[in-house]
Formats: sequence, C-alpha cells, structure tokens
Amino acid sequence: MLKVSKLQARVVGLLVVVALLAVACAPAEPAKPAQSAPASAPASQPAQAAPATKPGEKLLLCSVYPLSGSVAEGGTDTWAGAQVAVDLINEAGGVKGLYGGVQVELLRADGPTADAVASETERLISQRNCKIILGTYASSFELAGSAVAERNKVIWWGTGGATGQLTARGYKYYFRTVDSSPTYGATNAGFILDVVAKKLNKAPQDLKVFITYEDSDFGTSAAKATEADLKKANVKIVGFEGHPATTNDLSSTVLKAKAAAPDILVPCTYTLDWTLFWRQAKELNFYVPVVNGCANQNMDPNFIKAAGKDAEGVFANDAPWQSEKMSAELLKLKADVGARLTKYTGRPMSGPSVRGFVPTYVLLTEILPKTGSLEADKIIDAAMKLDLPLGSTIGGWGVKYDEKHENTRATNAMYQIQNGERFIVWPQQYATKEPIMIPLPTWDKR
Amino acid sequence: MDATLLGQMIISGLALGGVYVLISVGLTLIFGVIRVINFAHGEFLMIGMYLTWLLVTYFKFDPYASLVIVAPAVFLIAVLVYLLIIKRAQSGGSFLVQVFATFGMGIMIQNSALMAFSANFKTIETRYAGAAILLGPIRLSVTGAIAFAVGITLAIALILFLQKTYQGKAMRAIAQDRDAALLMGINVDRIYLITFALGTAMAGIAGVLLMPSFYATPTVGSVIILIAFVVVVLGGFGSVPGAVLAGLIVAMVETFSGFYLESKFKEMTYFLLFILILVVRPSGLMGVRGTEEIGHK
Repeated sequence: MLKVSKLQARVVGLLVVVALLAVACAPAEPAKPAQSAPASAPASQPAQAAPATKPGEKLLLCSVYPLSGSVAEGGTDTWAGAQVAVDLINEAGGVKGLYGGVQVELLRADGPTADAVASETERLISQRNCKIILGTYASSFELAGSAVAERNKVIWWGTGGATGQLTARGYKYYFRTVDSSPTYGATNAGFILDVVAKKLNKAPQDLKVFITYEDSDFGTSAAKATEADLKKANVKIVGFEGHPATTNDLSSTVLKAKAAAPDILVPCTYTLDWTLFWRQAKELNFYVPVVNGCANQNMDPNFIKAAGKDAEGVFANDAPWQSEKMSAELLKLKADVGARLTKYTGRPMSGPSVRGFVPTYVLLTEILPKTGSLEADKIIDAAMKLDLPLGSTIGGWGVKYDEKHENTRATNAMYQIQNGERFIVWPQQYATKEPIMIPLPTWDKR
Repeated sequence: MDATLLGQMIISGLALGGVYVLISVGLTLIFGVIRVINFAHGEFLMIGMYLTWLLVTYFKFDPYASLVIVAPAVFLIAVLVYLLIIKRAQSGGSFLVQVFATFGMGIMIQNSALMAFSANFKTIETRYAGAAILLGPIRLSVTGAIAFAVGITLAIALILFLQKTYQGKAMRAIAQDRDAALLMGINVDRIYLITFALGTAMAGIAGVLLMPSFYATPTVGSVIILIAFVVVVLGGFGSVPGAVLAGLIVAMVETFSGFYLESKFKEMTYFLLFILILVVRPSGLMGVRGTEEIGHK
C-alpha cells in the first residue's frame, strides 16, 4: 500500500514537472487583444503559407509585438495599427503592382521581453521564411529584434522603437518611419524655450529642469536627447534620475526632485511608473510648475483615469496625429482607421496605434507596389526614393529616409491634458487649443 | 543633511516596508516549517491583488474591506494547492521536485491570470490615492500608513500565535525536529497544511494592501518576490521576527539608495546586500545556524 502511494506520488510529481517544463518551454502564444481579433493567423500555427513569391499567392508580412507582459497595451495598440493597414489594403484589392495585386496576411508573434522578441524573430525568419518583419513597441525590444533581422538580411520595418540608437547603428535592412528620441528632445526643448520660459517669465539660463526617466533604451535615449537640447540653450538641468519601469516605489526619486525644486519636470517614462510617480508626488507634496512629458505615455488614458483631476495641465510629446489641420481625404482615412482600431482593441486611436498604422500603410501603398518583388535590395531602393511631403500621412508626418534609414519628416507636437482629454497646443501649425495652466496650481488648490 | 528630509525618508521607507514584511513572513514561515521554498509565493500576492480589484470594481467594496473576503479566499486556494501539489511534491522526497513544482505552479498561475484578465494593468480608484497624513513637516501616505500598520500588526500577531498557541508551538516543534515532533504525537500533515495556508494568506493580504497604491498585472508577483527573497535571506530562513526586521531594513536601503545613488541602482543595492549576507552570514540576522542547509534529514 505504502509502495503504491509512493509510486503514485512520484508519477504525479514527474507529470507535474514534465507539464510545467512543457508550459515553460512552449513558444510564446500571442495574447488575445482586449476584443477578439478576426483576420490574422496566430504565429504559432504550423507552417503552411510560405511568403508570396509567385503570382496568386498571399503576401506574408510578419510582426513581433509585446502582446503580453508589462508593455502589452502599447504593443497591442501598435499591432492593431499594422493590422488595420493590412485590412484596408486587402479590402481595396491587395498590394497593387506586386504580381498584379496580392492579398496580405499579417502573422503576429508575441514578444513580451527583448529576448523573446529576438527569439521570435529568429523563428519567424527560419521557420516561416519571413522577408519583412514589422515591429515593435519598446526601443529595447526593437534593438534586439532588428539585430536578428539584420544578421539574416531580412527587412525590419520599424513601427515604434524611439531610441536614436536604432538608426545610429547604420543597419542596411532597418527602416524607421516613426518619430524618434532626437525628435522628442527637440520638441521638448522647443516648447520649453518657446512657450514655458515666456509664461514663467524666466530667461532660459534661469530655468531649472528635473529629468526623470525609465532606465531602458526608450527612457534613457529620450531623456538624453532632451538634456542635450536644453543644455545647448543653457537651461540648468538640476536632476537626471533613472529608475526601472517596473519599480513599486518612486518616493526617493520624488524626494530628490522635491529637494531640487525645479521649474519643469520632464518625465521620460512608461505609463505605470509615471502614474506611480505622479501619485507619490502628490503624497509627498512635490510641487512643480510645469510637467513636460517626453511621450504619449504621460497622457495615456490609464494615467488620466488613475490621476483624475491631478492629470489636468500635464504636457506631453507625441506625433501630431490628433491634428485637425489635415486634408479632407486624410481626415476621412483617420476616422475610418480609428473606428477599425477600436474594433480590435476596444480603445480609441492612440500614439502607438498610429505608429503601427502609418509605416505599414506606407510600405503597402508606396513601396511594395513599386518593387515588383520582395527582394530586400529592391525594397531598400524604393524606400530611399520615396519622397512624401510633411502632412501626407495620418500621423502628420511626411516620409523621406536619410542614409541611416531614419525618416527626416517624422515631426512631433506638444499636447496638453485639458478636461480629461488631450489636445495639441504647440506648434501653431498643428495646435487646436492654447496652452493653459502655466504654472500649475499647487496640490491643495486642485 | 536636512532633518526633515531624513525623517521623510525614514517614514517613506517604513511605509514601503509594511508590505515587504507581510509577504516575507509568509514565505519564511512556510520554509521554516515545511522546508519548501515556495517560488509561487509572489503569484498568491498577485491573486490577492486581482481578487481585490474584482471586489472593488464589480462589488463596490472598499479595498481594505475586501480583506475579509480575500484573506479567507487565498487561504482556501492555498489549502487546495497544498493538497494537490505541495503535499505530493514533498512526499516525492526530492528537493528538486519541490523546486520544479512550485516554480511551474507560478508559471501556470501567471498564465491563467493572463488568460483571465489580459496583460493590461488593473488599478482601482480610491479616495485615499495621493492623500497623506501630516506628521509636522513630514508626510506619510495614507496607503503606506495602512500597509505598515496592518503589516506589522499581523506579523506581531503571527509571532504571538507561534509563541502562545498549541498550533504555533507545534509549528515551531516541527521546524526544530520533524521526527521528534511526529513522535510526540503532533499531527504533522495537519500542521503543514495550516502553515502553508496561513503563510500564503499573508501574501494574499499583502496583495490587498498593495492594490490601492500599485497596479495588478499577471507578472507583478515575480517583481515583488525577488525583494521578498532578499528579505527572507537577510532575516534568516525560517525566522519570522527576522523577516520583520529585514523587511524594514530592505525598504530603508531601497529608499536611501534611491535618494543618495539613483533609483535605477536600488535593485543593485539590495542584491549586493543579498550577496553580502550570503557570504558573511549565511544564516541571516536572526536565523538559526544551519538552516541554510535545507532538506530532510
């Protein structure tokens, strides 16, 4: 009897270990987006559709996004943007000019960490024979994935990574269409010098700026770009503090900022750490007259919901996609894209979804129709010849790649949270509202 | 150094320490008595957070009132987990089986949460968010004050329980010598069950206390559990008073290193502390010498 129960226990134990190892080692499945997504086949399906190399076949476009993990919301939004671009093209008859018009299939793989993005990229290339990979959301993830693509001579079509390092590497097969950390830096500095300094009645050299950033590639690069641009104008940087984005306490950073008594706080963070920082700033009564966020995370709907009225007046940098100063045709397209995005994610259009949509749409409407095939060299050639003026995409951007494959026409604008919504307040060419609440009221007056 | 700032950092550190204490006492208790290092301990904190979120969002509970439901619920889940997994893994005899079983269980719980709640983070809105108690010029967040008060109270209650009650004494007896305790007529199986469920419920309670000031994601447990391991090693594996002291010390180290160095170095600082303890005093501040060598005799 004793023997049997011991044996049973061992068998169960072994089964548990085997099952758990199987779970641990299984390829990451894509997480379900908030609303069920039709169309695209999950990446974990067995290989069946080879990339379109002949007429009549589907064109296989591959993608890696963080669909689970701490940045899954941004990752899912970006993926949805790419998927909507594919849907629009397919409904319009596929990619014109490529083998006389082909339908597109977007494969998606889940990359919740930089390592996972690299290994999924490897898998997509070696097992699915992908020729073009779209991705991804976080800079550090995109650095890892695009390095694998470069090694395999596969095009990595950048849709979200912001760090300047991505293009500074001079990769042959990497292209970035979206805004980057140098753009964030220039917009932050431009707005601070052009608007904030005047409203605070201070000369640039009398302004004190405290920069806090999440310490992965995105936050670090955006913070450094902002610091460099502000230093050029002799603005005093009174703090430059990094933290891990997953931290559960930022009171020490808040106290340090409080001790430095800055005029302007520049957070280059993700949404969760920013929400935590701002709540602890209130708890510790850290008052700062102006908050100039580095990116859309600083005015994310989740932040606005969590902070409530405390979110009012916060400025943040993003692509000028929300501008109404666009051609009627683009405004119509933007509305259509917005409605389709909501069907996938349950959320309205966002910075990340625009960064997923625009590069994919440009690739499918402006580049692939001109190449006649999926050969990397032909794609690079067609991309380098592309010349779209500012304001010709729903992101507000134009497209002109430089020799490092950086889009020189990916401009940014400054937004502000007013009455729980975000509006462009600078520069004039995109602005729909005036910047207000400079300086912010103290915590007890909100 | 400005005295107000120093006082503020100590208060902020203590407020942070409450949750660390609570999650670590459970972990160290389970180790001390059952000799299982529960790698899924953080996942029970995550379960506590999601249960709180559900109660607050759908049943309009006050987050702290949800304690009365979340603590027993996590206790019951832990009873099931003990009977279905821990007990069987333990009777296998191999320490490796326990490691794989709890580690794998953690992955399963994480992925179940991912399926149930998606990867998007969940927060709750409370009227205390951002509110602070003024102690002269020093500010103590309401959520931190409650976490500290509840954390320390429960830890002291647990120490008294271990000292004064029959069950507590039986737990300590088993921790000292399992075979002798068995010979003295202590129902070891039952005490194991109670210990595991009690220690795990502490993690669930820590989840409730954390929810008003933090957010729930499927991976939140794995972030916090790393800190809990540092606390448990510093306090001494198996020592509940040690975990209380160490929880507060680690929180202080985190706050001070965040201020004097930079927040991005705070993880490095407490892991350096972790390595240092392992080298200098492997049994921890209040651990019994030899407890670091785990496994049955």
